[in-house]
Amino acid sequence: MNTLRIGFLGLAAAVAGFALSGCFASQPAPECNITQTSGGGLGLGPYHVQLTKIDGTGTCSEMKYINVGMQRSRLPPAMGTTTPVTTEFTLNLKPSPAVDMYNGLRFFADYDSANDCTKYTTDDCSECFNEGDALPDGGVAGARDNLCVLNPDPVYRVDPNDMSGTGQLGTAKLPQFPVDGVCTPTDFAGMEQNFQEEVVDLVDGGTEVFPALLVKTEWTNFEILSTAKAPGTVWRAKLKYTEGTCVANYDAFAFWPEIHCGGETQEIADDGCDPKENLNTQCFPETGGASTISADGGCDTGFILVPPRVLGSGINPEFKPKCDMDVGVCKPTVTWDELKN
Amino acid sequence: MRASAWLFRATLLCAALVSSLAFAQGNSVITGTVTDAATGKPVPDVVVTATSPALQGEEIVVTDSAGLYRLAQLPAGTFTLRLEKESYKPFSRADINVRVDRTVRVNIQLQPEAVTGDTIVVVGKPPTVDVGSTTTGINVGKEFMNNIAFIQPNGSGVRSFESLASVAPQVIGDTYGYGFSGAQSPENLYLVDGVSTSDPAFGTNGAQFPIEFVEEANVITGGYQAEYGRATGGVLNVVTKSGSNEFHGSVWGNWTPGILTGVSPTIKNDSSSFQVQSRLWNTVDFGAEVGGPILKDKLWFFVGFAPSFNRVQTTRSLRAFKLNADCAAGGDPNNCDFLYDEDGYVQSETIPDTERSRFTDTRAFSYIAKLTFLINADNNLSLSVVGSPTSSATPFSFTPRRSAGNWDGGTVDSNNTNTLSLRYQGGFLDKHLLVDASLGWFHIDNSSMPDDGSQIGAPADGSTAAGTPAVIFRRTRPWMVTDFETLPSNTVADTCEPAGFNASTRPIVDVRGTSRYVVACPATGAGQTYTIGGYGFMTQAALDRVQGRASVTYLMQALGHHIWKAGLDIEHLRYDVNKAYSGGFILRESPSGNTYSDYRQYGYLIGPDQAVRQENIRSTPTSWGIGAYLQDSWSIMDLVTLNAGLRYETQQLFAGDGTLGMSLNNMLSPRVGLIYDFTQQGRSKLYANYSRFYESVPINIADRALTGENQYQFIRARAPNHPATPGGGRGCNPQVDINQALDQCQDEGNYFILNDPTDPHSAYDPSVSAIPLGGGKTTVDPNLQPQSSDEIVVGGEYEVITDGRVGATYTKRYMNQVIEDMSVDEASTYFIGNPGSGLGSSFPKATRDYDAVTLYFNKAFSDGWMGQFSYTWSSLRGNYNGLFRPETGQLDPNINSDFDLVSLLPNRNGPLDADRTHFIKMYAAKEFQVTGSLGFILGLTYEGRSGAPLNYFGSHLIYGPDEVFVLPRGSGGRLPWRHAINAKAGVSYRITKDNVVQFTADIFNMFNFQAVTSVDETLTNGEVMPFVTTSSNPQEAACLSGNMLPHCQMVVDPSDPTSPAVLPLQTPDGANLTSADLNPNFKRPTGYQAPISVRFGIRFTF
Repeated sequence: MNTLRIGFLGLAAAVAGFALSGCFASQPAPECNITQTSGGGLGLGPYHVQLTKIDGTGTCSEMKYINVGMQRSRLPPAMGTTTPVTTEFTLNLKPSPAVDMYNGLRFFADYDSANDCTKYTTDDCSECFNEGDALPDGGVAGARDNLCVLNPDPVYRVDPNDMSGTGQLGTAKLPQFPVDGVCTPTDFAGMEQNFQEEVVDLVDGGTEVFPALLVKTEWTNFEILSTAKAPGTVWRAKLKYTEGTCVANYDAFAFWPEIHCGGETQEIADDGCDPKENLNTQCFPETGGASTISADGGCDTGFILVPPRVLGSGINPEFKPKCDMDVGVCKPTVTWDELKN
Repeated sequence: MRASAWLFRATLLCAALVSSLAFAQGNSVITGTVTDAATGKPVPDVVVTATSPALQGEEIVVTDSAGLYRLAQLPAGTFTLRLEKESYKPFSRADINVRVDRTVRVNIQLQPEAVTGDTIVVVGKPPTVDVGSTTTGINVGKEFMNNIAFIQPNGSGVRSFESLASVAPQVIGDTYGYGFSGAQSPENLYLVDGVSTSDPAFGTNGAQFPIEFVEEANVITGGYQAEYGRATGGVLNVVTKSGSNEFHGSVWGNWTPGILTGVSPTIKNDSSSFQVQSRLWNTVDFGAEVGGPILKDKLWFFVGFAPSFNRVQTTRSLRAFKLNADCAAGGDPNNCDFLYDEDGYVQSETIPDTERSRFTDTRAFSYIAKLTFLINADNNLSLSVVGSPTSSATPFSFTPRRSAGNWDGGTVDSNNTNTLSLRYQGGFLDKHLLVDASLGWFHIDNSSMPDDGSQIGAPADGSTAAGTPAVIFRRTRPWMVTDFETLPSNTVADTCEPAGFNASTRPIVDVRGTSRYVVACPATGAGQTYTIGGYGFMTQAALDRVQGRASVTYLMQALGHHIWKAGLDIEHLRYDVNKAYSGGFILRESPSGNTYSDYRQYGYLIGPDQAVRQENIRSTPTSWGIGAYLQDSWSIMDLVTLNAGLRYETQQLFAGDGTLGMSLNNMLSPRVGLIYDFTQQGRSKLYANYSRFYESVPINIADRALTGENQYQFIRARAPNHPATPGGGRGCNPQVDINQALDQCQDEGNYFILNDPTDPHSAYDPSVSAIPLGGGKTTVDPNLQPQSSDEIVVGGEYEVITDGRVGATYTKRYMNQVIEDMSVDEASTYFIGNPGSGLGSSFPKATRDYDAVTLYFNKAFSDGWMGQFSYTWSSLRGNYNGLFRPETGQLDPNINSDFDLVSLLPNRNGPLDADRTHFIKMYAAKEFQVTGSLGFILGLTYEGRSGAPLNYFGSHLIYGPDEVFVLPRGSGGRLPWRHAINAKAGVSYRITKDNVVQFTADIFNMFNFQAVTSVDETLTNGEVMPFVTTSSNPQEAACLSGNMLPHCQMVVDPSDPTSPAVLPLQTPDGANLTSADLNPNFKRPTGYQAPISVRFGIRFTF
């Protein structure tokens, strides 16, 4: 009988113990992760990094945003094995400024001063304008007859010591797990290019000189949210940006994905940021370069903003995105703390 | 993370030690009231003794002051009750049938001694209505198994116990077993001698053994009490045979000859030259089982062994499609077309001398061994092991697996299962306190490997099947059979490459105004693929389910009779899996044919473009689960029984690296039932029951999502120096030589450069060519709720004739929360949550609403006949089928693609796959005794059911084929009714009292009905957007009604693109879907019901 009593008590104690253990167990925190920027597969784009100037003068202090592509990689495995090391990760970063310069998207040779259409082939000269005609920049063609708008002549910047541009990339150490919902990468390296001077021959026979240029991004106070609401899709940091002699410091707030909205007519406004709305039926501007809204953002009902997305803006509804008409991007309206908790 | 895991395990260990001091319970119950025949008053202190061949020894109880007695913890079987008390005449009542888990009431009147006469023997049958519970379902005993032809061998040739579930109302066969009450087979609890045999990783039933080892099966479709948990479906509770004091056994053999097996109609396919047909060649099983005493009245044994062999012949022939004269030299290429028959199929002819046949052989060796030890009159111990090592071999592949050594595509699959059970049952306090405790271990070893002996880890050098990559070709412009296989030279010119055929360009000709490819012998195109090379995906897995269960049953008297039961069970699941792709990867051709990418390849990046390939990945996720319950069955005034219980469960899943992956807590399942016996004689019941069921999550999710699989890929050009590559590579053309897959396909100069400076989505990609896939561990919603469903059952049952009951039930089930993985950003980041709440609040709630009414009549075997008839009307609606996706067969419990993307969700509501409005099941058997020793049996079975709903599937831009519901679920109409009539005829001859020999013949589908059981529901293999109604469309009604083309014109006819008489479907980029995108086989049959087959059996019983 005593044995039986002990049995009942044991059962009751066990049940109570398990009940309590259940109450206290919670879901594990997500691993430190980021959204992999990839040109293939699903074609996931870079982060949109919103910049708020702290200090600095010059053109490099006027940036509203840049893009940063990211990938998470692992440490090399032990010799002779392929078993992944899981104690920490490597964060790979690729900020847009130096990439755009390298790819010829930032600097262009100037117009021909003569503006004589007859001198050029149609390859060079896209359109000719007579006095009084509307110009693409919104102005009106002036007294100079036969104004010729030359196609942009991109200038590809190269670091002579890094012809392949690997210095545009950076790395940092990324811990495996967050602390209080935040992952803090450390030991940033790279993201520096010493572009050489470029002398470009202009169409009319003149030249234009693009001086040597140091381009550098330096990150501090880097924090990546690692919560269920934002599993690596939001981060913030201090950015020190150097472009030649210009140095500027920014507060950076980054989010993924970058979905464009607004456009010339700005009629779609916030609706375009709806995570669930089918974009195919709406009018959206087609974006051109990486850091600007295309000037001729027309409506293309068949255009999908972020291939191969089928439906919606693809933005996490938790972001409560709204269109920022200034830069034409759907931005989160929630705060860092709201996404963290 | 690790700390919490250890804390949890430590808690478990402590609890296990403490709880090992407590035991509990029994299964079936005989209860009743003993009254004085003269006065009608209850008679206390009557000694009630139960005996049965199924019982080792006797069971004795004494009636209480109210004259009540209760014999609990009884095994299923036929019992005799003997009642004795001073001053009353002894009383005996035989033939009391007790099924597994059932309570039968036997009220008895004792005659006082004063009345003259001897022992009273009651000949009338006692009632069979289960007055103690609200469970719905059916018991399947030996008579049913012996007399009814209903179990066909499974793929291993084993007539396995799981098939016993099929006879219960509201049970329907699905892809992986039998679904109960609108749920799917992986949601059931499968118990063999109290041990759960559910596959730890996938939830399906993992065990198999022949029904000859089964004493009785209880198929519980709903209404069950708190003692059963970890199931949102039903319970299949199987009790195996045990030995008794007499030696009994049997030897048997069964043979299903292929020559007497019908052949189903050929399945035609207008997209492929390959025609494959399988037919049964032979199925043979035989075996022996015997049980008896080792020490009389003390120790008994039961052993059995049953090998089974199944051979299937598969024949592949090649056929050439017939082309019209315009396709030949001198014809008008613009009018080149296929020739069609009157049914609209493309005419074809078999290419001579291209037929190949092979046999697939499956062998299983089932066994059982059981010891039962009676410690004393009140305590017994049993130890059993049952298993079935199974292997299946296919000698070669029809497609040439070139350059893999001498390997010819042969495969070996093995699946070994073992169930070990140690069980103690005891009674204390005059059997008022019952203890049932068991330890169980269910183990599975399985593997899928090539037959050349090469293993996971073989060098990737192309010399073995495991060391050679597989390559999948899928070019839209069809590859021809002759591009891969050598055909007899004369047939090539005659059929595949007729005169006028331009071998360099292939005759790509406009047909019916669209650019359909007119090719006589296509191997690819229209969704068809062709695979060469090594084995492909290889797995080796060991799965364990270790269980401890204990329960205490206490019988007490307090305002009626109570059966209190408290129990505790602990389960540890382990899934040790080793996965690899032969040669390290699978290459797949792009539809254009210009590139090959790593379709599958385990590995990761250690920096941009720096890939580390893993030849295999091994992971061992685990899970701990704890359940505890308390329930009371309260018999009030012998009139009403109230069953009330509460079950608590928790489950913790750990990833392959040992860290906690997912925590499911505080699962509280109330179960309340009320039963009213208006006859008060155990001959009737009206009942109602409410239950909540929680899912036990199979741990495949802990491997695939919580551990995280990492893969990567490169895209490589077929031709050297493709403009999109850096150049310098030799090109990658495995169609010419499979060896290129491991050699020049790996030239980095072939890799596509994916950084497009003008594309904002790729310009900032840190990698130039590598594509990392898989984001590591999947995030779990911190507010995740466990998956559960609720059930309401009401019903009534009345015994209209001896052993015969009519009844009706109504069952309602619906889902509460469902666990699935979701992505709010269209496949970039995923999380595991509940659709419709928490992080998944932007997704629709997962719904599965089941309503069913069943009318039935059951007649237990007596007076030489038995019958079981049921009709079920049911409705199953919603957007969630369950733990697997019937549309694609995907079995990834809780991480299926159902809710993955918002863009997948339109049109998902409707009749679910298992929805069968009408289902009739009729089983009957009659025994004819010709002489004292010669008898005949005749059994008949009819199963008829209305057809499954059909859908319009399209290909999703990201997820691929059949993931888009083009029109609302179920719009495609329904399959036709399916009828099957089986018969069993047997003759038995009794040689001596205990020796009987029996010959039987089972005829399945004796009228060879050939109803279509599946059709091709793929409307298009092209990418398509779901059609969502925005305004009325004249074609929509036709399409939604399931009418086939041409009534339902869903695509734009290019010759009249503005026609309003079409339902415009669009591709994701906004273009119109055209008829060229349609699957020519849409709605054509892809399966027929199993043809007639005959099985001969012989059995000698001793």
